[in-house]
Amino acid sequence: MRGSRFGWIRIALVILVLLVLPKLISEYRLNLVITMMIYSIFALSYNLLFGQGGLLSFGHAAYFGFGAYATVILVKQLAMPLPLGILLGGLAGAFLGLAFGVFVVRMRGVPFALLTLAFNQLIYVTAEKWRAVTGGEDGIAFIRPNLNLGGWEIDLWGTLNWYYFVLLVTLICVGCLWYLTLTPLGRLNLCMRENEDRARFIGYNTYASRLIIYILSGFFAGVAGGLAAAFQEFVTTTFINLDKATDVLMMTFIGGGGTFFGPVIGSCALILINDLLSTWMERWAIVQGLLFILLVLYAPNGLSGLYRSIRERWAKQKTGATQP
Amino acid sequence: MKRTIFGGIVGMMGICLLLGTVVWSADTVNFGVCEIRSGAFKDNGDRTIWGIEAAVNEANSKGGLLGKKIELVIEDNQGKGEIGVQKAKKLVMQDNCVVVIQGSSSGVGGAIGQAMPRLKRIYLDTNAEAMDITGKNFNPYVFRTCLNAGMHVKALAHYFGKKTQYRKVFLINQDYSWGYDVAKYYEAAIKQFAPNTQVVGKEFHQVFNKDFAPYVSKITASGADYVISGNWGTDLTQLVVQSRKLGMKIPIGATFLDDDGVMNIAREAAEGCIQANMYILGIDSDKARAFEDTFHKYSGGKWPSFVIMEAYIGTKMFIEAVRKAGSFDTDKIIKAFEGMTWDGPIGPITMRPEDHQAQMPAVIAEYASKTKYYDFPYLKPIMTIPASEISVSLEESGWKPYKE
Repeated sequence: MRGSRFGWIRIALVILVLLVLPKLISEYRLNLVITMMIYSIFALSYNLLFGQGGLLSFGHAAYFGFGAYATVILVKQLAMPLPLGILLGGLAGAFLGLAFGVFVVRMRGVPFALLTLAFNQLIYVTAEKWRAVTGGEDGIAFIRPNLNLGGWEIDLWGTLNWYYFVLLVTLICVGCLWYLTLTPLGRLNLCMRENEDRARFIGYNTYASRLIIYILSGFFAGVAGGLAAAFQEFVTTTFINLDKATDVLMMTFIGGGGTFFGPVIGSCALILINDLLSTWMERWAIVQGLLFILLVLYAPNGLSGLYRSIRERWAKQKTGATQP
Repeated sequence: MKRTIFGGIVGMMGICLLLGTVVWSADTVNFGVCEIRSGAFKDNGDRTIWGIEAAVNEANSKGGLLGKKIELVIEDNQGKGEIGVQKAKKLVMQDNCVVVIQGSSSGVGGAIGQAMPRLKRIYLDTNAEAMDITGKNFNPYVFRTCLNAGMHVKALAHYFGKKTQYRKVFLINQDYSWGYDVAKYYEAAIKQFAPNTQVVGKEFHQVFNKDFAPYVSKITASGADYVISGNWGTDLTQLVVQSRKLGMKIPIGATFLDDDGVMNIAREAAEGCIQANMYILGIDSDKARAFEDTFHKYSGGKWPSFVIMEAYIGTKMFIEAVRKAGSFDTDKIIKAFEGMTWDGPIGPITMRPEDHQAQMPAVIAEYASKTKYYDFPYLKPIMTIPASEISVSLEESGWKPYKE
């Protein structure tokens, strides 16, 4: 009871920090935080498959990119309100998740990874070649529209209002994904990761359950893609390419897929490292690669796992020191 | 676990907070460079930076700009539009740069250009040539100081249409907007200069194509008199080298053969090729020699070829616009830049006020086995074409007025 109360206080404190953050940091850093929030949703959606479901996917950028294209096309061509465009971007990601999930969730291990990669490339090549709709490699540019709430127009042109809009969407998505982990479906996802046969033997339809998880994962990736496109005010094939697919894998791995908030930490860390290193040095990619190798070797559970093991070791030492 | 959450997120925010400090000096003015500094196109980015650095060194050695020393803040856009936009924001919001310069990628340039109305700073496009940047997607914060695709190929069409009897052309280009622009505008331009020219083939291959043999067979079978290609980098070297090895001897009209990196690989295979650009090394005039020697002096012994030259000229033009404005205020610079004429190495370069596309003459060059610039075969200019002959009208370029 006491622990739970402290948990809520901590979460409230984090939200409070996020609310006052625009007063504390420069506009550029606020832009970086917006990027971190968007990629946090993307990484959390990926972690539904990777960390919680035990499925290594190389094709998650397909849902991110599909959602991004859907949002831009709907907002630009059909003058749809931005929140609706982003929601429908999420639904587009979910639809793609259903279309591909029907085939891929039957697989495990290497076949699963390769099939997701193949589907990702299918979407990538389609976006590249279908120039009339996607603009090919040049992509589609658009102007982020203002938010109209029943006659009350909120200007999303400035960084501040846009930050609070993204914060709101991020909190809703993180809340939903957190809630999912508490539901029977979320528990079953963990159970299937540990022992799918056992889950099946006790009566669960693991195929249908995995498919639902896959669709939900596609939905949240689509929402993240829609937000990213609205933030950049353009969408191009780099939203779907292999770089994007490996970025989300790295974010999740760096933060640690074993904890719910690990991917959030990973996305923040990767964006920050990328930004700082590429400013400080020319060969930043080598340093980034070395850091990743060190992390794989010495902290396979990511930053959150590293923190936890240090804390546990420290607690053990402390207990040992006080024992007679 | 929750402590991990809390510690991690608050820690990240703390780092952000620490890094949020903005520092700039009153005695300096920052120019932002958002170029490719990693990956396959790093070489292009480096060359663009060399050109910008030479222009800045030259200005600083003569007392700076409006009494301030120019400092370059260089960021890596990684060849990706979204990173380019992120870095452009950094250059403006954090480093207070008065301009963001980028030229190596039309894709990145297009994305940065779209972001500038929000940032209210100038994006100086020194060498990205896609038509849309100052055409369909025009906005008043973008200025292009190099040729665009339409002008570039019009110079080639002028040469082949007016100076040769070749009337069968094969168009081979990369499968993205640049390649499509080259094909579309060449077809339109050649009809103007030599209406009886026949396009006997048109191919678009993937970027970084390895095997040109099937395309060479098609070109040979088509009976083409010459080839036009907007290829760059390895796609150009491979096209030239492989076609010559396979016995194709007809001229290849190119837009990026003045890259000394390409010529160093192509060497003798480039014999018979024709190149067009806004300036090509070796023009026999005092003004051109002074231009080359000045660059040579301020660049630490390099020559103004290819994108180095374009970035050098573009940066010098921007510096001139700031001097004319007498201020670092964006609106004042825009006003001063619009319609400004700068005395270029082969003639005046005028910034067209409507679309911010510089209007300039062009140079045509052919293969030269020996030049004073490099220890491998390069090019030698054979003619210049007046600006009026290669100009592409606002309508032809797909220009649309900017709406906020």
